[in-house]
Amino acid sequence: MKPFITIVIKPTLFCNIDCKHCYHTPEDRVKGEISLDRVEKLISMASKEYETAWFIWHGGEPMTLPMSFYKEVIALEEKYFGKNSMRYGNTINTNGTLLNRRFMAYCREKKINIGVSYEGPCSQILREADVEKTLRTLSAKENMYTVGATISKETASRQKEIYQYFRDKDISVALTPVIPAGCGGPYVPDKDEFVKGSIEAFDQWLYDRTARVPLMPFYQYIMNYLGEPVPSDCAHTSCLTKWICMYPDGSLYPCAKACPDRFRMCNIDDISSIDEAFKTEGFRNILVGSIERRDKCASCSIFRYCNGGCSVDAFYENGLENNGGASCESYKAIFGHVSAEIQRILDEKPDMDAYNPFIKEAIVSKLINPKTVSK
Amino acid sequence: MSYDAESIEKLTAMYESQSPNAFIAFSMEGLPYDSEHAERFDKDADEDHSELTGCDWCCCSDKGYCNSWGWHLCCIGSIVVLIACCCYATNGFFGAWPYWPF
Repeated sequence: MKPFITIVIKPTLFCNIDCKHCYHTPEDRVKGEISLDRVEKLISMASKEYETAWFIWHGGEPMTLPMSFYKEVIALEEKYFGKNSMRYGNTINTNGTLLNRRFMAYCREKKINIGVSYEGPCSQILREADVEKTLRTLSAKENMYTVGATISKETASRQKEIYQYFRDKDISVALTPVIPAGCGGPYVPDKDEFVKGSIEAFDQWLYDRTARVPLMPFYQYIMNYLGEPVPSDCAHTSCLTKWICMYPDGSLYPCAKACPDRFRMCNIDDISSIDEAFKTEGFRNILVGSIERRDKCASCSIFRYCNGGCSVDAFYENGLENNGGASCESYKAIFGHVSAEIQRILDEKPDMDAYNPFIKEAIVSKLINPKTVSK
Repeated sequence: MSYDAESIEKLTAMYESQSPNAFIAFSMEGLPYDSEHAERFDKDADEDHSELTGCDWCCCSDKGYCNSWGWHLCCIGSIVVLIACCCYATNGFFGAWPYWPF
């Protein structure tokens, strides 16, 4: 058995609010739901081939499906992986507009993480949705959830403001840029502005002694630098063969971002194991291009941390085989700043009370056990 | 260098060999551990469970409303019958409704 796979399932591509920057085109976002038979087949195959699996429910808007769908899905996971076996977990990524208290209660009972896409003070720029009340209920009921704030060209310089907004509410937030796929093109942030805004937000969080939430992806960058890479940082963990995505029609792709047809691996109806999907022409196409790009990255000083970055981002920027796109350059600049700060702390060993508790804990544990820290 | 002639198995091995640490770290990491969630869940487990199961009937929709028009009618009919019974038992709500015929 292989150790771990992340399985993204898009039970529908339909969305109730149609965010402006969506990487699925309006033609893609039509009604139509995945069949439970296909979901069952994928869960069954994963349980036989992998020790553990993390299921991410994505879309479209996954909450446009009734709660009964998720009850049946969780029952299938319990059937194949074993109830309370700790071999599987779930995250549902939603715009939050259709989340109700009943589903929140179900998520608490079944330990389902919720990811809400929301930009707080900049919420009307990319989508017409206000989920403040939903977030208040999630917090009051102590659901496990995080917010994903998508950074556009309008908000690239407001990342610090977005962090402070969620920090004041004790909500963990991830700052993620729009990618130039689907409808995203006009909303992609300027690279320099994005880097400047990200560094401002990081510095704010770094010295925020009373912060009670981690700020993503910077916390992931720190853990990566300290030798503890986080699986959920998919762009920088050599994701191929570790992630798979199923569309409502049963098509399988190596990534949940909008992959072009040439990366389509197969249909779940045509295979009897997940391993077969990773032996198809579509997977070969993304694999060959990624290897070529990573060959070019090998001499880069931060390659061991970024592992060549995201193949789909590269595809939409300079082409799959080429690095040096906006995502590559941004990561270099931001990771460079983050790692320099962490290295300075490791070298100078200053009073750690000046830093936020997450940095403090990560650094102190590394100073106690420095096995993987290196310059 | 062209990789077009390579087998998929060799390509996969090549991809993994480009970033061996990512695969070693990943296999050691396994499933992300969310102790915070477990702790939060345990703290309010009973209360949360009762909130969920309290509405888990076939007549209820996911949102906690009536599941169909039939159930709506059933609900309205029940309320009408209940009012009628109360009216009968109290003889027109103790005279508040002077036209009560029974």
